[in-house]
Amino acid sequence: MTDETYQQLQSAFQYVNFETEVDDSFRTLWKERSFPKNSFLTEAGRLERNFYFVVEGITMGYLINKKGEKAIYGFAYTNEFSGIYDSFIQQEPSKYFLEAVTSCKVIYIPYNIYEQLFEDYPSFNIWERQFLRYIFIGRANREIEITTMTAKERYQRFVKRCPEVLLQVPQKYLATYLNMTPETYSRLRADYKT
Amino acid sequence: MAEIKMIAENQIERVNTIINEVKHWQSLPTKVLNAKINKKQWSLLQIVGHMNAAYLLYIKKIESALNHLPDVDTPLDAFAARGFAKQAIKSIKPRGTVRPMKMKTMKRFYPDFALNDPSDADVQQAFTTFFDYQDHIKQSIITSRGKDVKQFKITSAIGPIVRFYLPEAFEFIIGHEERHIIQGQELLQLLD
Repeated sequence: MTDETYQQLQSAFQYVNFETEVDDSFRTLWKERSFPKNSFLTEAGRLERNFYFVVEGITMGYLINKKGEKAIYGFAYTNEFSGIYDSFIQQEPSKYFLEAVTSCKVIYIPYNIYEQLFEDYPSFNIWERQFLRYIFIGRANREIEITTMTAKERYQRFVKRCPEVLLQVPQKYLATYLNMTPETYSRLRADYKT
Repeated sequence: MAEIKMIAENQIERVNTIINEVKHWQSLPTKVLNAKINKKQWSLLQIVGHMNAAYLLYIKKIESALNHLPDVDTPLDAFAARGFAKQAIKSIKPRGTVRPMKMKTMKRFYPDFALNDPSDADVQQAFTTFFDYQDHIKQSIITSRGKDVKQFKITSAIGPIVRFYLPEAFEFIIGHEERHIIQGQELLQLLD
């Protein structure tokens, strides 16, 4: 891992004191891997073995509903953690796919090492508590958006909170994520620009 | 006839479900793997052997198709089966846990003769081959997501009248395997 990548990782682990608590061996726990655009990091029906950090690129989590359509639950982009967390924590087959929407460079650790972090470095417990709160609040907000807001309101909130890099994601995926047709997404996007 | 819509991710997920079930079979004692309800019915091991024999007939066809097909940038969302291919898929794919209609197996799909009285090495070989073939079909499905699959058809192993686009071939093969997974699960229930 390059120094730059390690700095990215350190910044993502807020609440962890890298100067006093974490030694050099932590850096060696992480492995690097690249995924081409449209390839899978995780497949539904298989165990999520790794906890990922996106060094560069965008990943997308989704499942296939009974109509055979993608139901997209979220994206992770550069400097964010990624993975199918429920499968990873429960060590049970994933119900979701995790796909590289753009070509991606990631670093990752397997389950046993992830669990060991909390034994070896106590401040990781604080990080995880904050991380889970962040996920929980994000899911709750999305629930509110999907169940109570109009397509226009959902689009406006999405544009405000999401980075420009998400524009690299095909519009049909963004439309699905926002629970609207590609035509509606396209119209709202045009309206918002003018 | 209702549309049969095929999605690569759905096919991959189903292959993973098949793998998980056969991994469970692999963990069973050899005595259970060889057990039969009657002489005419297959054992679990023979079911695995039959699935291997059937897939073997598709390997070169699939590889040849993948080599011929031009690349695309964005994977297809879905592919709809048509004509004879659609009928073939419909006749083989289980509806829930029900196999649509029983069929007599053609000789070329019979399991390896050794699986009638298998050694430990035969048992291991059957499972190793099965998982290799599942990996092959899964990688082929993944590769096909980056291909223009509408440009080339392959002949099915059931005869030249049925020709498949790759997503149709995958659907037929997976449907066939799902059918035999149900057969194996029914056998295990009866053996209980």
